[in-house]
Amino acid sequence: MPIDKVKRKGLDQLTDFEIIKLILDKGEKDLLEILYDRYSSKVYFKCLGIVGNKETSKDLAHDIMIKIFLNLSKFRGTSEFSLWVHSITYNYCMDHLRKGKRLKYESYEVKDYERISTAEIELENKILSDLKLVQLEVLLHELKPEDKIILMMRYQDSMSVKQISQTLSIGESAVKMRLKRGRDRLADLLKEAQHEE
Amino acid sequence: MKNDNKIKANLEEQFKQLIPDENAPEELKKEVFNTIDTLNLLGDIADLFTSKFTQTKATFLDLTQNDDSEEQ
Repeated sequence: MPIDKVKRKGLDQLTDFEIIKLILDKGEKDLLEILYDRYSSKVYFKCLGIVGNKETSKDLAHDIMIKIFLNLSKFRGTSEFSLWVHSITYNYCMDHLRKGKRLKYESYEVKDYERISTAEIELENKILSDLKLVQLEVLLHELKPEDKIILMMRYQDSMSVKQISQTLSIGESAVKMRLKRGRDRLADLLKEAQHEE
Repeated sequence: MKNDNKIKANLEEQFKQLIPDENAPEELKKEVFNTIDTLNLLGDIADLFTSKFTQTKATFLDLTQNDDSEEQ
């Protein structure tokens, strides 16, 4: 049953953590609706950005919202709730892609990252500094899901290397390497697109 | 370093603009809360056969025993 408007107005001022405490400590399950309204669109469009299919994204978003609600007691409040939601969303989408064998990570050595030359980085930077939104929209469709996901984590959700490393359960050097590869592939696609113009 | 920050800022700006300012499909909300209701119902039913069932049985047995003792 929806929360009445007067109660809702007051509750909208509360932080996510305060809402969660009311749900868990006072059993106010109807407040799940506030969390739903705050995060469902972010979850749905994140799924759509990763899998690119509206129907599948709706199913994934459904399962992710249920997972979030059923695991609220596991949220410790040590980080932002939005980050926790993002982590669950990314991991759930990645599991979905893994089941369909659409996610393939290459293994990198830490040394690989250290071996990258400054010239290589500068070239990539030069290309990406000209990237425009219209180009990114097109190029993201061509990017492999594993590259798309790590770039979205870093640049769309502003997650730090450490936060990405915790979410993906991989080392920070591996995150840096995957980010580098993701940017490389994006730069390559951009170069190809500019060549064709 | 300054150039790195410029690239990061440009990528962040472009990536963040990709997030649409729209709501998730309306039917998603209905489906999520229907599932939550079903799970709550299943939880209540499970309770009946575990702790609550044992409690109810114990209370019921107490009552019958009290009735017996009153009759004697």
